[in-house]
Amino acid sequence: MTSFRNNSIARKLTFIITITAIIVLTICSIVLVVSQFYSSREAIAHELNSIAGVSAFAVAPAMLFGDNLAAQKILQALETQPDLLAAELYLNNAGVPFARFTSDKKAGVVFAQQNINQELCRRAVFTRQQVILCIPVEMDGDILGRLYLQADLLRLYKELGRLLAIFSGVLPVVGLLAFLTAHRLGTILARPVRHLANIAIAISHDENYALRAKKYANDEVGQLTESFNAMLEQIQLRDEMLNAHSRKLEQLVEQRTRSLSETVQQLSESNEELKDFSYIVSHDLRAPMINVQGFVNELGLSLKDLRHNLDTVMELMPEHKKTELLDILDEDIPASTRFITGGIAKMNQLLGGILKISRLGRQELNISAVDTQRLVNDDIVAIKYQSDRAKAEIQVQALPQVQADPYLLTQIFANLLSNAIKYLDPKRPGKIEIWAEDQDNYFRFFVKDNGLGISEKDQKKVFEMFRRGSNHSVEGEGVGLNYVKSAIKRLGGTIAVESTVGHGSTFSFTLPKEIDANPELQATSTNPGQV
Amino acid sequence: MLSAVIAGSASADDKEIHEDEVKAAFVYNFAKFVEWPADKISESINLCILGESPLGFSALKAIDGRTAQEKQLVIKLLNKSDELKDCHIVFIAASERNKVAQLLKSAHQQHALTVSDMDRFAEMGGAIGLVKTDEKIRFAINLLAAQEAGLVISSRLLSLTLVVYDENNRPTP
Repeated sequence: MTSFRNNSIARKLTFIITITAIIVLTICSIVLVVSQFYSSREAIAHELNSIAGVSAFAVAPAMLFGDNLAAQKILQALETQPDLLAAELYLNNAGVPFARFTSDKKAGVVFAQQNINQELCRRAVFTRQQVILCIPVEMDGDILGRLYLQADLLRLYKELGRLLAIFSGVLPVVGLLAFLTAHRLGTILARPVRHLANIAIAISHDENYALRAKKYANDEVGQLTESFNAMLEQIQLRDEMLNAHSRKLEQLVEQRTRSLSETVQQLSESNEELKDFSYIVSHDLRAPMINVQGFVNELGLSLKDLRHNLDTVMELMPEHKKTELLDILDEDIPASTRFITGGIAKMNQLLGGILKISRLGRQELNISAVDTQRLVNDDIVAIKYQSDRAKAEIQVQALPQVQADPYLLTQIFANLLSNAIKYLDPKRPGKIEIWAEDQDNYFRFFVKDNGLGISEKDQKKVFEMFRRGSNHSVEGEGVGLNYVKSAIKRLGGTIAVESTVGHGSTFSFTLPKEIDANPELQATSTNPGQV
Repeated sequence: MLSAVIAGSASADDKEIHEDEVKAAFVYNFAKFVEWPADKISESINLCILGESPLGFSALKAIDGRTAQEKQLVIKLLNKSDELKDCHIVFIAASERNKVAQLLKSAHQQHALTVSDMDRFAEMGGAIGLVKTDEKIRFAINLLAAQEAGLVISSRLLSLTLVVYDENNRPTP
């Protein structure tokens, strides 16, 4: 069945039509033979009945007058009937035939038994090879006896045999004709379908949607072909549109890429400029600042000299003038110089911060295996004075070994620790915890304190340059967390903070297990101007 | 049944006892094969017995009242003076041999079928003569006599006759 299914439509059609023709012819033949059999049998019975009627009529007087010789003569005339095997005449209830005739072909058959049984007469009884007919012999309303006729059915079988022979001769011829016709028809019918299939295959293979199927006729396949072509039309249209779109898109992408790379170029240039600028600003502003500081100091010395010289002069001045002058010399001017010195110190510190951050982008990374446990312990020792003063307890859990720049990592932990200590709540004993978690491709380090905490509003700002949250009571240059963020970024990680005011803060940052050694990219991503 | 009786008697051994019965049955059976002229047809078929009949009482009793051609057979025993006018069949006994010619003439005038078991009856001008050959009762027909009487005898009967005399009074095979 599967092999049939995989055949071409033309073959299937040929097969179906041929088989159908053969089946139909076979059924017709069988029906015809069977009906011929029955109608022939009927005809034989009818013929036999006529013969019997004539014979019975002829034989009746002989029976009436008991003339069995005459009866015998009449029956003898039946020998001209080709199929008749035997004829027997019985008087009513007689067990011996009144007269009889048998053909030479077969021995006589006696129907005495049947006669005595008084079976229903006037009926043809068929056996396989013979038919037996019985009719009553009547004369003037009286039934004198019965006539039995026995005939051979050989002729019937010969006829049927001839019929079958004709059919079996015709069947192959019809089968062949059906096959040839079906083959031709099947080919004609299947041609458009095959053509359609070939076109479909060609299209799916070459993606050439410009192809069209040829329409052969206006039947279902023709309609299918039309729909197929209409579909192809649409596909072609869409394909063209798609191609146009994708070309446009490619152009757009190219254009955007170009402008983007230009922007990147510009950005990195301006980034460089900015770095240089911030370096230059912070570096070059320091010299005049130190000059100003120096001259302020000089001004203080000059003021001391002036005071010393004025002491002798002031002896002569009236008392109220002397008091006024002393106010200026001893109070106002020193206060001003103090403010100037403070301002310069402050400015110097800020410049130092900027310089530090700008240096971060300019320095080469020095990546090596770092034992963070030892590094953190060293940091804790370094800030022992501060932590002791703040009465803070620092707990460090086991920390992993990582690939990083040890200098930057020291700075990161030092800043975070010092921040944590700085912002502890003086009203309760400080507690700082440090631990790390292994998270797939990176380690995450945590620095948790129970200090003042950072309000939600300030949490975003803490990593910006010169931002120090709302708490200004604590000293600092204001670049610590910005520096930490830049340093972590430089090492390929990120920093985050979680905090609740009054309960403390947790700073966490990641370090990749395998550091991407692309200094160019890291250099651009650590640009402080972008933060 | 009658035919069985005939067949039995015709071939059986006790022919002495039943010969008259066979003859009576033959006469009755003849009634079935004869066509009378239209004006002769009545409600019954009358069988008239003339002379000293060889047919015994029981033999006649057996056929009396039987039907032939849908008519009842009525038996009449005639005196010499009686007319043959109502007779369809006249059985002439051998005792009347001397006046056969006269009897036949008057019977044929009355369109009656004449039957007898006397010797050479058909040859003498009787319509049907019963003949005994080889211990069997058979019959001879004189078609001319029947024609004289205006009767038609069925060919079916003719096929069984021993001899048929035609108009030339010659036997045909």
